[in-house]
Amino acid sequence: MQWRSVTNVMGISWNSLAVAVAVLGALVLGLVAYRYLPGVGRALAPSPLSLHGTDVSDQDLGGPFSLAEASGRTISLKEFEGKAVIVTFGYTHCPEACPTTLARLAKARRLLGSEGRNLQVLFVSVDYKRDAGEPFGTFVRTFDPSFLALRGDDAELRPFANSFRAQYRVMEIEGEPLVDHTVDSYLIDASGHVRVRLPYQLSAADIADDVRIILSAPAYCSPWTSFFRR
Amino acid sequence: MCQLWSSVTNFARDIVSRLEVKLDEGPVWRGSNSSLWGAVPICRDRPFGSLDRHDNATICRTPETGERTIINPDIHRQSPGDLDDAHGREQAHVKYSWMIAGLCMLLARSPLLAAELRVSNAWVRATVAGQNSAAAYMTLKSDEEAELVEVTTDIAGRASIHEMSMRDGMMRMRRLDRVKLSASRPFVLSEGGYHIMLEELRAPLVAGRVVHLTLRFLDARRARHSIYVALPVHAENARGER
Repeated sequence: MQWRSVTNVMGISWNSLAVAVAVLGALVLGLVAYRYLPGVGRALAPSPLSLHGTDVSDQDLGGPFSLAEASGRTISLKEFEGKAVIVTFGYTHCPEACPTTLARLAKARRLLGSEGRNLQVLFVSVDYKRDAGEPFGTFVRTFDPSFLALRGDDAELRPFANSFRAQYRVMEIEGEPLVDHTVDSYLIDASGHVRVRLPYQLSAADIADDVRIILSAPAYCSPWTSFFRR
Repeated sequence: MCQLWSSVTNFARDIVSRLEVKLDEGPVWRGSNSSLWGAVPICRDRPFGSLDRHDNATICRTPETGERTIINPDIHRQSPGDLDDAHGREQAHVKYSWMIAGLCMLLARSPLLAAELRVSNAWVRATVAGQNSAAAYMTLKSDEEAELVEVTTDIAGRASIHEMSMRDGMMRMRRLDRVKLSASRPFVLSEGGYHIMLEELRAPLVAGRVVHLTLRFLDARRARHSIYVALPVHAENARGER
């Protein structure tokens, strides 16, 4: 009699309150589990792509950007909607890593055959001072005429590199610049979402495979997940 | 024969040492190291053939001073095709030069002599259009403690020893002023590790050509030596990648 009057005051029946609390509790528990227990999230997520590189779809890397091309024209990611884009960092005076990466990317594009048209490679210079004008563009185009050479000063490049969690540093020792930089590349899908980090060691065939997978994979579209992760 | 040979080399070395004293004072030295050839013409008379990087170096010592010129044999190798018709000639040539090399070494047997430094697997990466720097690779094997102190060349404005390291997807570059060479372990300059960085190249490096570097090193007695190394230019690395 006593408790019945209490529920009457709140205007809800005890039964419906219990159900509501249970549903809410289950929802909260589920969300917490999904967010903090990696196994649960993975079990619910769509089946993973069998990539050679690392799937970074859920890391919110990259984002829209625009950088100057070697010739001065401004290039923005939006231009490549519908294409897979590979972003890689380097510099012309690079003795080994950058030519190797560019050569592998060029070979990967050839291996893709007609699908190669749907791949755009962007080589982003981390050596703003020395990589300027035609020689820089020529260097990159030597590997594949479709490749684009992009550059930006520290103010533009730092946030861009940070968005990929990539690093670079230019030190000058007795007038001789020494450049450190991230050698992994990043594969962006047709809708502009960074999907795969391609480690330096990957072969051209592996890169071509991953591009093919990303071109045919469904778009990474999980606004609810990304909302929840923010 | 040997008497004649040693008087010839003495004369040549005299000229070279005079040149060296004068030229050592200025950067002019960079362009002048080809005079070292004069001291050891004997290692030079072998035919030039196609390039192959996986071989050991030939060493020839000039008598008395112990100054050695090492000539990378890569440039003396002939391609399998050439070898068929020139086989006999090549064999005789090799025998001949080994005999002379042996004589050189006999003449050079003196307690004052320092250790040998062998250079092998030397090559330099061809440049791509728009590039004016390149990396050179080689293996240095010294049979006593030595120190590599300088690299000079007339093909580039600057030559320095770099150490590259790759960790967590990040490539790091460091410059080394000198490198200690131990007797027990060869010092390997190869991809993914050490290299000689050639910057401000005077001309593009074209695959199939041969370029030269001079390595300056100190032996265990802190005596200075120079080695003239020939490096074939390759567009591809050992794994066949560009």
